[in-house]
Amino acid sequence: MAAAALTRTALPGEPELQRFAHMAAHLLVERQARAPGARAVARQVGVGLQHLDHRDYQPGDEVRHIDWRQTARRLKPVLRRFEAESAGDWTLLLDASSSMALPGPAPKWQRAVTLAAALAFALLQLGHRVGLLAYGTRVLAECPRGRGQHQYAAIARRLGALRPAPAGEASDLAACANHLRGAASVFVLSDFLADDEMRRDLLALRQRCTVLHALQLSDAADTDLGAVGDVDLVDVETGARLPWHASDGARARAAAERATMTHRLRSFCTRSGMVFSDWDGVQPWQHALLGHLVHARNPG
Amino acid sequence: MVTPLWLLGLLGLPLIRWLHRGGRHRRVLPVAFLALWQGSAAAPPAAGQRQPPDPAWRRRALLAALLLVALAGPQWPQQHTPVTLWVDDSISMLTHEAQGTRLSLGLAQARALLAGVDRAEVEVRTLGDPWHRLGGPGADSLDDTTRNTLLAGAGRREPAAPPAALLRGDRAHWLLTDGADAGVFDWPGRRTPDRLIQVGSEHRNVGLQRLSVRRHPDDRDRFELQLRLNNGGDSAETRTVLVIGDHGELARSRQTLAAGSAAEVLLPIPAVARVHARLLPGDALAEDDEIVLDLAPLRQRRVAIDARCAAALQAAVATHPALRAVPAGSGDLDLRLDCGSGAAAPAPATLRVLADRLPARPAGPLRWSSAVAEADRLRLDADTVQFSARLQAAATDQVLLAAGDLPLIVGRASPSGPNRLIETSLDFGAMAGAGGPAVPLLLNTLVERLLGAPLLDPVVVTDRGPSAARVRPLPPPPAAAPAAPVARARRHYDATNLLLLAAAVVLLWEIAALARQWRRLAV
Repeated sequence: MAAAALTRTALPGEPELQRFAHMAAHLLVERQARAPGARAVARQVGVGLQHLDHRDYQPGDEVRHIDWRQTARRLKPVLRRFEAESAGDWTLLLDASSSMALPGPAPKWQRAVTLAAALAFALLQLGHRVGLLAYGTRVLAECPRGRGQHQYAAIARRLGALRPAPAGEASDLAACANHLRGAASVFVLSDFLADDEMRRDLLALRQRCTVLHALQLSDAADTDLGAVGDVDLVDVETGARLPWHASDGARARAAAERATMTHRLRSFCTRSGMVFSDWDGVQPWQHALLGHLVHARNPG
Repeated sequence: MVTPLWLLGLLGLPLIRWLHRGGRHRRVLPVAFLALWQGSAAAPPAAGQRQPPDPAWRRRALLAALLLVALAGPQWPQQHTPVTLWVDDSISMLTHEAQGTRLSLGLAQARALLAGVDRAEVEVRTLGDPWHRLGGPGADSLDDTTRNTLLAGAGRREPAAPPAALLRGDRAHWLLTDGADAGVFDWPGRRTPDRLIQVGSEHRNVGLQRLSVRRHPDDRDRFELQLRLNNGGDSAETRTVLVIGDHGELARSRQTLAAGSAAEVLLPIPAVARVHARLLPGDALAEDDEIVLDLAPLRQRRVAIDARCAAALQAAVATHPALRAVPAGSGDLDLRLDCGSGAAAPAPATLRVLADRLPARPAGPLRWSSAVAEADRLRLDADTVQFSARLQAAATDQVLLAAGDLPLIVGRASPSGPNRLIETSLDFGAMAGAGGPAVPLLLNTLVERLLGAPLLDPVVVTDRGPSAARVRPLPPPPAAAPAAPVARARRHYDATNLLLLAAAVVLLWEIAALARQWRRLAV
């Protein structure tokens, strides 16, 4: 690919992306077991749809995917699910809210852009169609799904041009739901800092895609302000203020609250069949992304 | 208070406190998600409970209060004793007594007397220049600076009684004098000094009152010197007048003067640049025993004459008492008389006589320019006036004499003041042929204009006045007896500057606090 010429300095270089794509290839083309007792089958690029398993019908599902035989057998609508094609459709959802723009030892926005670029590069290498949606309170930027080197160049250009607003931009993941056309694998990159950790929005997205990945970017700076004395805390997204007195106890309580939110989100994703992982920026991005894909392959 | 209405502004100080009711300015920290910190929020003030205002309000209220009070113009009264010390600065005050000059002795006495006055506020004025205040207002304005100014400036002016406008009734007026001039006691409105400090006991003095020098009317290389001596003492005196020139003694004369009399001495001396007259032997007042006079205005101007000039013109220069004809090539010239040969050396001023055609009589009447003084406008006989060149005058030139529209004498414009080049087309030979004094008088007019100074009959003089030599103290008038009670007065001191200074300090304090806060927020 001619990615080097188009990639901004903020994005990883092509050799680094190539190495990652090579390592992640088997995780991105192999069958993803969804049903108990299923076995992994190596698939080749270009092979057609393959039945994977069944699940109960939910409002909004494609009617033509109802397995009438199983429905008659179980006396309730049962949906036939298909294994994702090795050359499938992927949509990357990138949180561009103001909370992602906060500076810190490991800036979340920089990490999210790196992950999105690497993931797009690896998927496009394998022949997938990849699209990008950046969202705040609305969809801020969109790069429609496409294939090939030109698509990576387009995504890289868009990633390089994106800058989250320093204040006033909240996160509304549900705003992306209408932009997900057709069944696709969706990969959400966000800090999930919201009242319900965006669980409701994730659930809405889950109805519109085949597989939903949620990779949380956490940052120590979110819970360690380094301040002393009395300060006024201001939420960068809502502008709400809170008088606060800096103390070690307060910092510990904030860290505990953040851990609780992560735990709640992880449990929710597990229950809802979503793949969730948390990256705090300590380990390299390759490890974080490969770990997430491994976890997607082996949820247990 | 000058404008107490400004104090109403103090009622607005509670407004400053109200504006700071939000409490201390706190540092603002942006966070990604406020809910993370809800559990450790600082206890907000309870409903209805008032939060203490930002302490900065006190500083700002203080600044506003200081400015308001300063605008009101606060003043406070203070008891003091205003004294005006009138100092006789005539030359007789420089008479040497046993312990020093009269002026220094009198000032020492005045200082001692003022030291005994409670909160004295002294202003010092001289009788020679009463409108110029030398010292004060202040508790000790008779300081060394004032004293030195008085000693350096004494003897230059004739003393007179203080003007009525300066004899204010709210001040005590002290007089320091030797009483040699009775006029210093003649105060307007029959007023008398509140305290008289009279110094001096010396009563013998002969002084040079006047020295004047002029050119000798018969000998252009000599001067006539006239001296006037005055015996200001009360006994007969004999003095020798010594006149010294540039290179030594020029003349001397011995004079005996009765008490209070004057004598005049007339001495011919050779022409010198400076003359120094001195009385021998000296006496208690040395300042009036000699006079030095600069005789530069009397010197003869060096004129280089072009050989082609008319004989009448050359004769006029030769007979002029203030001009000395020198060869054309001589240096250090004052004037150049150029008649077309161009042989003379450069000079600061040039009189150029043009002749390039046959002499002709001008058609119009002769008219002098208004720039020429009325006394200098010669009445020239139109029948004798002829011109031998046609002059052109530029816009910046000055036509001094014209016949109709024909310029005859033109002053050429010069950046250095008056015309330093005058051109004329007059035929001096024809004018001389008709007889009369026209040529020398016209030459004198033009040369005086070129040199910018009168040349005929100058007198250099210096005159000290008839009372300069009087040193004998006169008894004061009876009403001027000392020990008049000294009035005390209330003086209002303006505190505005003090308050403005305090406000500036508070303002700097506020700026420093704001800078500290700004730096804290920028971290």
